Amino acid sequence: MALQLNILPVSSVGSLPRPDSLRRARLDFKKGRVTKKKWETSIEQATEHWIRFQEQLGIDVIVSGEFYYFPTDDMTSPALHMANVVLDEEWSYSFRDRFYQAPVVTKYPEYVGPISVRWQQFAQKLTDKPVKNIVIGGYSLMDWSEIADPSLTRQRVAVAYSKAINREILNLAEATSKIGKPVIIQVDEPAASVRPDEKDLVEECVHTALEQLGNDVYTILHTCYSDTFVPDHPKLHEVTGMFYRLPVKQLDLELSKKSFCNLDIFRELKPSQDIGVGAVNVHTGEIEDSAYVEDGIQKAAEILGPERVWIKPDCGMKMLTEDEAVEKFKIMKAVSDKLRKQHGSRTVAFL
Amino acid sequence: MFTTTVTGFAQDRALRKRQEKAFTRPSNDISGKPLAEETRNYTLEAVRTQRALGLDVPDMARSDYPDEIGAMALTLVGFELDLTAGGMSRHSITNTYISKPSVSGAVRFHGDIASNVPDNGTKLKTSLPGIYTLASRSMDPHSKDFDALLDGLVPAYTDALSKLQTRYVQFNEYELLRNPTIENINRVKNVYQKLNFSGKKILAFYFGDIQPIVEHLDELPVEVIHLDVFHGSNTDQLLHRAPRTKEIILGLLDTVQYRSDDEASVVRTAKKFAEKIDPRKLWLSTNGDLVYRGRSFAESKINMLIRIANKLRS
Repeated sequence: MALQLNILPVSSVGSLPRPDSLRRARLDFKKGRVTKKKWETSIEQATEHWIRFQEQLGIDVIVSGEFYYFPTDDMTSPALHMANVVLDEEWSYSFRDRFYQAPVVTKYPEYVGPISVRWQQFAQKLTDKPVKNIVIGGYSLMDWSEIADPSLTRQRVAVAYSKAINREILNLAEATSKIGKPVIIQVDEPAASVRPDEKDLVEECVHTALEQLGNDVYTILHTCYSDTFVPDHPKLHEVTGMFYRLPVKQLDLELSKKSFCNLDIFRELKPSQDIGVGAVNVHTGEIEDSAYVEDGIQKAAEILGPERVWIKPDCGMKMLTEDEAVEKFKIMKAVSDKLRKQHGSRTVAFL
Repeated sequence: MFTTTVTGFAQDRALRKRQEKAFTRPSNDISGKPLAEETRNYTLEAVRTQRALGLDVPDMARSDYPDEIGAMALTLVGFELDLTAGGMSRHSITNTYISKPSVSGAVRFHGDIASNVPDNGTKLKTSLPGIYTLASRSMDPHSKDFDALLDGLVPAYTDALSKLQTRYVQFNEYELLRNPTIENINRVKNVYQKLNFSGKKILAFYFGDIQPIVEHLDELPVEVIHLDVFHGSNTDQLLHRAPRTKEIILGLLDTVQYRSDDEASVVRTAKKFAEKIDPRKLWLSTNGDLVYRGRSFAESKINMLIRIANKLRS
């Protein structure tokens, strides 16, 4: 199925702000105070609410919002739906006042069945627009898990996670094809550039996750959360080299938070993939000046060509309030509309 | 053969939530004083726990807001802290973000560092961000003003340390491992040469490969060096080239990769070091902070450390 979009398409990374009703329903279901049906209804309502918003605004590639995370509202939660992974009862510290419960790996993780297929299909059926299928990659899952048995190696845990994620991806691709939609698969590897010494393992994990996937799938690798992929980093060439070798059609990067300085990397080191330009910072509720976003996207379009640039936030927007996320979406859309006129609005075949 | 840890203990969620509100929403009128007391009570209790578990030299178990770097910046004139999440960046190879202050003028100490240290540090190891590390998180080391910033920080740190009765002060210099050029190694040598402090100075290097700096460890003007034995090729490097003129703290147990340690393997590693280095000069420790995981994780690491020390001592 073809994926044809206007130049400078607008999309999002994955998670969207959680309505209070969804948070309450998750907690109530976890504590056995409401039925599974009630929890699932709240996922459906939140998904539909945000899909209608994205459609009305004219967002080109829709995301479901990833409201289905359970039992924790954390991107590591898919690991808890695999065999040999349990939830840590203790809270791990992240920063400031942020804590999370880590998955604990007791043996090598194994896939036991679809994790998010039902929910991503639900989102696909709500709209005629293309919807991204999003999964977290095996390397980041491993890096954010506690490995409880010292005989298990980081390398083998990461690859085991990636094999499980590969099964999920194949199920997602099949389900999307069946409903006649273009298949877009995004693998989130936020930890991918954190440890340059493990870049070969990252590469192995992404290859494993995307095995057996046909060339008729638009694949995206999202990464963020690191200070490694910046112009003056001593291991920049090694890390970018790894990213450019990855078997994906788009690299989706955190760029706004770093004032778009990473874009200069592409002048010297030309990427082989399309670039998803992080245009708004998700770590602050402050709304960007549209001129700031426009300058960043204009710079990306000049360096890469407007046919290879997607506009999206730096990362998932679940930490923002709904009002903040809405405003950031509107700015990205307005900048896209303005620059499409400047660069000559036209359709590009991404698949 | 002392046992110790690095800098922090398991963080308390309720305290962290209250700190966040107090600092980011001052309109809520949360008084600073009860919060300071609560923070101090937390650290006192964490130190008591470390002592009860049998640790020889407990660390100060800091939990001051927002983190080690940000808290130090708040005690210095000439630094500005962006308290939005945008004012932070990743802490080395951990899953943690920490402050990235900016420099706004001449540096001078004006804070109250002693009140954040239980016992005023008399029976503790006090930990502070390394001078080079604080500077390089606040200003690009290639900047023409970077050396002036280091020069300004030395008297500010000297002033801060004069308020403490502490016997050991540990300076966490992990940023040097991210950019270990000869120029930066010399900068570290230079600032600690100038620093005036009567107790024992410890320089801690962790969460990275020490190979580029290992040849220079003996030249550093401090009495004790903490090294991360867990990461990179550090074990082999150190076994063959460990400094001979310093006390060495071996960071044997990993606190960052969230994996259980193989106790038998750690004992074998520690024994190899004890054969090479005078055991009277050898300390045993975790490689990094115990802040990232919960209390039972922190306590299990300390328990293992003490079991390993006891095996080696016997």
